[in-house]
Amino acid sequence: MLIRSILSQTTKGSLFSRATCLVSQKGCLFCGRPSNQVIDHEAPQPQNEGSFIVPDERPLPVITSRKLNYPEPYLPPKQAWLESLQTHEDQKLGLIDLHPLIFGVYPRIDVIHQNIVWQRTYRNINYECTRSRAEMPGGGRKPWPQKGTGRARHGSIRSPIWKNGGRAKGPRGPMAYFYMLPFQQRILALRSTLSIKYAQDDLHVIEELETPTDDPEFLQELADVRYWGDSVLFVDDTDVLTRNVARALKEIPHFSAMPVYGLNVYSMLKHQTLVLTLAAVERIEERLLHHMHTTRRDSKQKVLRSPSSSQYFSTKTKTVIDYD
Amino acid sequence: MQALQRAFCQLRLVASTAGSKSSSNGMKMLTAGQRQGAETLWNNHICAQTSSRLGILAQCFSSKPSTKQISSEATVKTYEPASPFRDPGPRRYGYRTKYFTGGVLPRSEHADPVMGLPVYKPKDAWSRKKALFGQNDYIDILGDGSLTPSDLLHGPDWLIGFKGNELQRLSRRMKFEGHKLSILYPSQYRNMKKRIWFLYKKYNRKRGKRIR
Repeated sequence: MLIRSILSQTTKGSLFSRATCLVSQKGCLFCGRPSNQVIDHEAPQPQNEGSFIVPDERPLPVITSRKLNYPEPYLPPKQAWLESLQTHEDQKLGLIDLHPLIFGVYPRIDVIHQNIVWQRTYRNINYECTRSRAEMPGGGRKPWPQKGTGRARHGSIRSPIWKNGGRAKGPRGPMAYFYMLPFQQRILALRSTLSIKYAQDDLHVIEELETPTDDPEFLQELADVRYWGDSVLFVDDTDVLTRNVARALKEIPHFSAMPVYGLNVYSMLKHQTLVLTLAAVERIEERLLHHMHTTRRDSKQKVLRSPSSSQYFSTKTKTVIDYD
Repeated sequence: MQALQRAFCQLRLVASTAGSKSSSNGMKMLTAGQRQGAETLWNNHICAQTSSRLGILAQCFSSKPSTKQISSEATVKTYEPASPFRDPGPRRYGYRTKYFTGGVLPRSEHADPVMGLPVYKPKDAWSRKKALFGQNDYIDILGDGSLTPSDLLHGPDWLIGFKGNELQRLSRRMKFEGHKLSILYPSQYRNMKKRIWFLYKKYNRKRGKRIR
């Protein structure tokens, strides 16, 4: 904790001091820390048998590359800085690779629009309902004779042309606007939106969703310093927030947090900046690439062969046996 | 008719003199002229309607404002030589007018507000519901595969994850809760059955008597 406070003081220094620090002490290229504070992994380290040493400060850079699943041979990977939420100023913890098919595809704006329309529509239910002439009480008797009265001919007081009559071709009952877009269209929209966010420098990858204080002003100041804009969407792999982040985000309406499974096109476009944790990046890439490289028939067959489904079938046979 | 013409001439003369003289004298002379004209008319057996027209005509020529004007405060006429008769006192004493006579803009500031556009209230685009709108819509892609968006919808059971025309909707409702409706809400059940039969005929009868 002491070292971290010292570091924050050093990183808060001006660009000039950081540059001089780099020149004089040959510090880290990513964070500007002097070289004596950066632990070099490749250098031979003393090994103590029997005692396990836990370093109080993590070595920098934490990560410089990432293994990509389903690598694309003809496309270079996209790259992003790994940041942290520990200080106001941006502290580069490393550089990671992002899959080009997830974060670097051509943005299909038409598909994104289809997805936005779908998201706004598919859950709607229209409860409007009017009664037809058949559903209203009365109206079975002819109000006056067909001929001889001098009045217009009418057969029912519930005719649609009558006052207090039934409604012709009105809205009928609760009606759902449900429909599903094709599965791959929705995957494409997620990839396009992530690519747009990446291309416009609105995508940031952080190491973990954790802040030193629960003060909402800290997060807002952090967003101001890093030019994150008015609204930020934090995405983590888990659906449990740490105490500090939860208390800070509760106070700021423009900052939201979501688990990976809650991520969607509408929210990504509503918020200016998208902040993903490293675990979230891993999870999103894994899910999207999995669906891109498997057919749904494959997954269905897997479900049929899975142990839970076999158990279901076995219990069914058991009941049959019992009846016999 | 000669008498009538004479009366008109007299009135014109009176009006021209009234314009030059003071108003009170003009009024006196006018009334005198009016009376004289009216007398001549009555002597020549001319109907009362013409005489009333003549009175209006006399008023038009006069420079004094008409006495028929509505006023809230009753004023007592005063004459230049004081009237020898007793002043009857203030007219309509104790009467208070029940309507506003102060001029234009009859509304006071404490009255009810004027009907108009409602007061503008900006909507909160970042309320909890709106800030997280659309969450979990891609749960079948990004989740573990055990849930789909239609599993998270709210609404009538027979409409969850279903879209269809009215006949399909009614049939599905019958399938879901028809038995319950037939016991608890028999008239609703009857209406639904009627509607299903009506729609079945409407959708399927291509020839013969069409149902609209």
